Amino acid sequence: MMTERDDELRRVLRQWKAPEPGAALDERVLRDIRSPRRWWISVAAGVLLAGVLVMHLSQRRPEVVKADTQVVSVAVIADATGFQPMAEGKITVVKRTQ
Amino acid sequence: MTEAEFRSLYGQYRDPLFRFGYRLTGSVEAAEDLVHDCFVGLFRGGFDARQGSMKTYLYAAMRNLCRKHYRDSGREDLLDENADPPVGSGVVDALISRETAAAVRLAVGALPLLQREALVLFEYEELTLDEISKIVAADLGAVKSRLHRAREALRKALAPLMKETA
Repeated sequence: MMTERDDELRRVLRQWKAPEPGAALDERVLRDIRSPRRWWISVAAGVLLAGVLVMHLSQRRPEVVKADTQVVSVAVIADATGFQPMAEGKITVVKRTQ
Repeated sequence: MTEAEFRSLYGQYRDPLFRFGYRLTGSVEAAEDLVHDCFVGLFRGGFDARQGSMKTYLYAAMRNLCRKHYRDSGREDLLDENADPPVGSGVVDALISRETAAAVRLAVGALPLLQREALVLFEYEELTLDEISKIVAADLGAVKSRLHRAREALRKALAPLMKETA
């Protein structure tokens, strides 16, 4: 396996010259290393997003779950014929057994 | 790293890294973008001397950016070491029209990336095999093998030019 110089191949390969980089590259690199690090932008964006989320959640009212309702009419009919109040009444609560 | 230190390194390595990027990507614009990212990354991330020499560190960073460039542009096929380098019709056309530089560019560009980077670093940038081994994070045997295969492919592709110049 040849790893030493191959002058014949190298001479042919050297026919392909690389161009020079443009001057704009230098300006771009120097500008970008001088610009302050932008880490605080992502932090500020995160804080802002969290604030908006908290506000949104705090303004959200719990939903009132409406139960299915049915209107029931109840008519109470009492027959008070012959009713006489007791002279001396005593109320006793008796638990009804099943 | 101070700006003065950075400027010194930039002045020293801008052109070699640009040439390396250009010969790997075949594009001036892409090479400039990669050199930009490489140096801005160096300035912001700093350099740890445990990572080896500054030279191998920067070439390795540039190499990784090139590989990312290929992945992002959906050309992972070129990362395959075992792919056969096609001798495209462009090479033949360039040979016919005696455009040697264009023929060499196309032939080198047709090599799989692992072979191409070994060839470019050895033949154009004149780095040692040991340096290349560190840059591409492969053992010496693998680097020699890639270089051997790249040269064989190029001898075949550029045979008419080799005979002419011999």
